[in-house]
Amino acid sequence: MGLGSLMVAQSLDERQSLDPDSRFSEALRPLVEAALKHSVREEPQFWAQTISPILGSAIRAAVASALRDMVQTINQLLESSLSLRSWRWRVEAWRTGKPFAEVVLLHTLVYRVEQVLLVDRNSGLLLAAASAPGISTENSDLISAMLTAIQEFVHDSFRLAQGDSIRQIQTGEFSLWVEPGPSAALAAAVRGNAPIEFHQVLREAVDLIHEDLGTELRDFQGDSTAIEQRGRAILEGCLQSRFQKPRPRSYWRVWACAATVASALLVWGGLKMRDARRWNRALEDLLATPGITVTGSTREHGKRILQGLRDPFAARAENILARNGISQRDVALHLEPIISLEPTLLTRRIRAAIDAPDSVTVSLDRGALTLGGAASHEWIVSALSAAQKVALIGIGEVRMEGIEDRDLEALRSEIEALKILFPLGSSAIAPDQARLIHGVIPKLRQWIDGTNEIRRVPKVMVVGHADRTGAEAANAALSNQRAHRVTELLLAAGIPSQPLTALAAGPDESSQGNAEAVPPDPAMRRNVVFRLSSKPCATGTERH
Amino acid sequence: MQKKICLLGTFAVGKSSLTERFVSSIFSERYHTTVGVHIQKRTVELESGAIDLIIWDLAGEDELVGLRTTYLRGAGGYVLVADGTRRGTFNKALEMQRSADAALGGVPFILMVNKADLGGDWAVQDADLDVLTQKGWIVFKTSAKTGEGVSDGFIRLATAMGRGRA
Repeated sequence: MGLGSLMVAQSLDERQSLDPDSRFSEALRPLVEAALKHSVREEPQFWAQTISPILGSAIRAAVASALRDMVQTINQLLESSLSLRSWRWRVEAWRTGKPFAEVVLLHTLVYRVEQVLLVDRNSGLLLAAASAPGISTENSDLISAMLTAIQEFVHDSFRLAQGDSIRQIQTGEFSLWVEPGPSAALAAAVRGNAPIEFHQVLREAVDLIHEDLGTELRDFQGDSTAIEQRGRAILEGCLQSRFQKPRPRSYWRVWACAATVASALLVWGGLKMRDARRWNRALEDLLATPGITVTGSTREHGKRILQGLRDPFAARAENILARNGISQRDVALHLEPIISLEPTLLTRRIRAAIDAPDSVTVSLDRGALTLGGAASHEWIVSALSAAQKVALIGIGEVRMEGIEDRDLEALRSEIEALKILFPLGSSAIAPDQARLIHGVIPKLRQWIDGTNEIRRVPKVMVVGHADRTGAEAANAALSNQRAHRVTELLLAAGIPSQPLTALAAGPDESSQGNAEAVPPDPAMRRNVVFRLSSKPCATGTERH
Repeated sequence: MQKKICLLGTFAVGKSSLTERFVSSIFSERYHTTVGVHIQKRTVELESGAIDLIIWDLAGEDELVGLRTTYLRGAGGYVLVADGTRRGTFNKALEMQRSADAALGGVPFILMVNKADLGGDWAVQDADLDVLTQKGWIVFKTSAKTGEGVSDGFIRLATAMGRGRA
């Protein structure tokens, strides 16, 4: 460094210390300005390179901030433009006359630091202020002073210890947060509920301001230009805000509703399917039932209507439906009566027509009706006449041979049990035996008549027996005589001759060769017995 | 540039009337009776630039309410106000000056003797004021009604404060 420049530097230092005010600067200003203009004109590139890092970052920061604000606004507007909530807010805006944006802001705002003031603790003068967009700082200097006055007032009134001060004032949704520093205090006006951590933000800001501007704050005499310039960025850092993030939408209600609906549908569907299956099963059952025909099935007002035909002798449709779990309430039956030619129904119909007792069996085979089992004589006689009626319902032939006439059978057993006994070697009828014969005559007549009545041909064999004593030929003759003697008596008593046949069985054990029936006593072997049988009128086998 | 100044004077000397035509405030007069101070702002144009005067109008001192010296803290100057028609208020102003001087040190101040428009009832002698002027006091006869002396008084105080800074 040359002597000349050294002297200039020394001189400048001296002037600076002697005249800290503006006179020296004023003197130098034209010179410096001219030099700068010249340099900018001559070396624009150099200045551009020098300034651009500073300007660039400043512009980037400004643009980023503006973009952030814009995006936040658009987001909020979009989020709230279509929801139900937004319509409530629109109504509120319309009702209160506030702009919609303000209503949205107030509702979504968790907190917003609207204004931050840096206040000289000594004089209450405002050192610097920053405020959120749209918030005026016009009266910040008055607020700053008033806040200080209130601090002093509270301090004095409540005799607070040195260093104690109001840290927060809360009025409704508005609060004032104060963070004191050694020389200056930060006061933040907050709308909404800021988290307690916000004190920490203010604390750090106050510390930073005192660190950066400690001297300026201490020596503050009313000129806050430097403090305002350098402290402003720190203050702006305190202008925080938080809006409600749209809560992660919980869909549990929707899910619950969907699950309920799905369950209901499932249950409903299940019930429907069960009903349908039951109904189909019942229909199949009905269709398989002899004498029932289904011609149509419809639904009206949730009730099923079943149309069809039914033979009165068919099973009851109601019972079939009930058997398949279908309530009579749910179905209306429109069944027209028919006469079915189904064999089972025909059989039932015939049984009803002939009033068949349970002991009688009725069977149909290719148009022929066969009655079996046993019945009273009276019923058989009536059934014979009724059988003609059944021809009307397609019965061509009625076979009644198989049916047993209980009354005639009983009569036959009684008659056949009778033995007319004879003395040794004689065919003469003793008076007591004659009485026996006379006793059997009405029964015999009744049997014959009854047999005729049921359209069978009666046959009465009068069988004569002899014992083993004497010659075989004599015995044969004797037994013949005995049979004829009794037959004669019967004829004399008016029994018709046609069914009667006298038969000589000789010393045979029995008329029919029945060994068991042979009595051991020879006296008992000398007898006449009756053997009764009948056969159908035209054809058929003989019956005993 | 901004400065805090305080208005000091007994009850009903017309402090509030003195300033109301020249100041702006967002606070109601009620602060006087609640917090004990009413804050107003007045911008004074000087040759060296504008000065914002933040005026702390302290509640009138009386037997019950003493001077809140804490409100004086940090003041760059003050205005003593007396009622020219009431001698007691003048004496009280002198007393207040002593309190303020003790609290603030030698900061600039002016004395406004108010109600100059009621000249006939004047109770403060010019001689009394001359004595003060000779002591270096800046004294103004003012009228809140006509505005006489008020603006000049504030400009004078502002100038004195600006000089004190230099």
